[in-house]
Amino acid sequence: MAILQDDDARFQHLNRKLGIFLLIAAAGIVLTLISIGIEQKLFTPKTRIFFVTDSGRDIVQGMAVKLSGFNIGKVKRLELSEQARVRVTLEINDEYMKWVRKDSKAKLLKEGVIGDNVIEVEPGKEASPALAKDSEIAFEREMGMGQVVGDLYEDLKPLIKDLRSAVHHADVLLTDLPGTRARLDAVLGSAQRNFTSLEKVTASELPAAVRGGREVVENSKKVVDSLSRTWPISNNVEQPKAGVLPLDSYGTDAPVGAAPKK
Amino acid sequence: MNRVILSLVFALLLSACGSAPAPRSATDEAAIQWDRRGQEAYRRGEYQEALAAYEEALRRYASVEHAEGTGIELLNVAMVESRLGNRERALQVLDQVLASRDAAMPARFKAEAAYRRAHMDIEAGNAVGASSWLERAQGFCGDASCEVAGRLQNMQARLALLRGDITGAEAAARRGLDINHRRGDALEEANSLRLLADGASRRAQYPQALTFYEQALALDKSAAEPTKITLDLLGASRSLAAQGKTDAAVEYAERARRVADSVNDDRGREQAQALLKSLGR
Repeated sequence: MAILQDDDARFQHLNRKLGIFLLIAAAGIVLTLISIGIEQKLFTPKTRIFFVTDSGRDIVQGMAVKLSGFNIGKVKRLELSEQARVRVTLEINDEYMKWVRKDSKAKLLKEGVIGDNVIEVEPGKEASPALAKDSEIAFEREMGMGQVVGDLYEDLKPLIKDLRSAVHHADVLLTDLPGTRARLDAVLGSAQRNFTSLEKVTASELPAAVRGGREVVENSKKVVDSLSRTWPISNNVEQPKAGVLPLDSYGTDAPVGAAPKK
Repeated sequence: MNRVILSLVFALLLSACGSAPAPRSATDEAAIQWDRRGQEAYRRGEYQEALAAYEEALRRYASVEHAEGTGIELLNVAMVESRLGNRERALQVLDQVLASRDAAMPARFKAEAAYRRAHMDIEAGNAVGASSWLERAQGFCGDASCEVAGRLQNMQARLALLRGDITGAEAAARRGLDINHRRGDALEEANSLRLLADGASRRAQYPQALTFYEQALALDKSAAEPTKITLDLLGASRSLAAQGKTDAAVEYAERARRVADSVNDDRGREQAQALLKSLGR
């Protein structure tokens, strides 16, 4: 019943050949998939652990979990609990679980200033027991740039206010400065003129005045001395003389009230 | 008009007759100035400064062999050394006065020096030495006209009281009272009265003691001597307390404390406080 004559030898056993080809193709595809799976560590045994946090902000499914900068797993799942808290399940390759211990801590941090968010696991102490499957690991959220800047701003806010006030005062002072300087110039000019006049006076008139004054005083002293020695004035003017310090016979002669200074 | 001219001429003649005191030398003037500085420093309690000033005055007087000035300044230097606690130095300086063979050194300075040695001995608790120096002072002094005579009597009364010889103390105090009153030395007169009061207290004649203390107080107040006023008030308070007049005694003791406080007289304040405590205040 054949329409075409199967005389060509190449078409002989065609069905068998096609079957073999399809089998080889399918095996190739399977091998490729297995290879990708191995590459993606789909077949690597893993341990699930979790942490609970108030917010799932910046945490996404598939996010890398690292230890000392190496990928050791990923975020498997985020779930909202009945208490409105977020339970984050991490999947850690078993080969790295030896470093994840009970006192280990998971941190959400950003790789570099503009890098991706990752979960970094801090290795625990050697003395601490290994973390079991489905155990909870401690978690903390490292302060992001925004939060750092926000906190810094809160701290700087009063300082900025003071600075603004200081700048305002400086403005006022600077506004008055030209007037003040003009007045100061005038005062200094006046003082200089006064000093010049004073120098002239002291250079010319003062010595003569002092000499004159001294002569007057000396002459007056002579007159007063002469008068005081003249009877009957001399009888009423007591001449200064040296005297013996009194020594009380009752024994309380030290000056009272003045602390003795040796 | 003629009377006025005559009066003026008469006045001029009288002034010409008047004898003017001899002018002082520059050294004397300088010594006097140093002496005055010493007095002022001593009154302020600045003994070191006073000593330097008196030593300077002494040098000036010694340089011109001014016996009286030298005697005065030696006594002053000894006084300040004693105040500074340099007892040995003070004694040496007094000995210079006492041992002076200078005929020009007046005996009254030797009497004063001996009196001061007696005073130092009595303050040091050496009653025997004090008596000996007192006798020497009286020997230098001669008679009651001596400047230190009244003080010597008072000191003799003190020594007698220390020996418990109340009769002798009262006799010396009365002689001192007489001499000091005649000399117009109010402070020493008050000392004599206080010594009489102390003697009367020892005899338990408290009303008489109170009278003496009151008389001494009046003199000390007129001389404005706070330390002595405190002593008088304390004595009066004790006399009243001994008579059972506690309220009046407390009043006197409080007055004494106020006076002592006002001049930082620690010794007077302590005595007043102790007395008030004994009176239940």
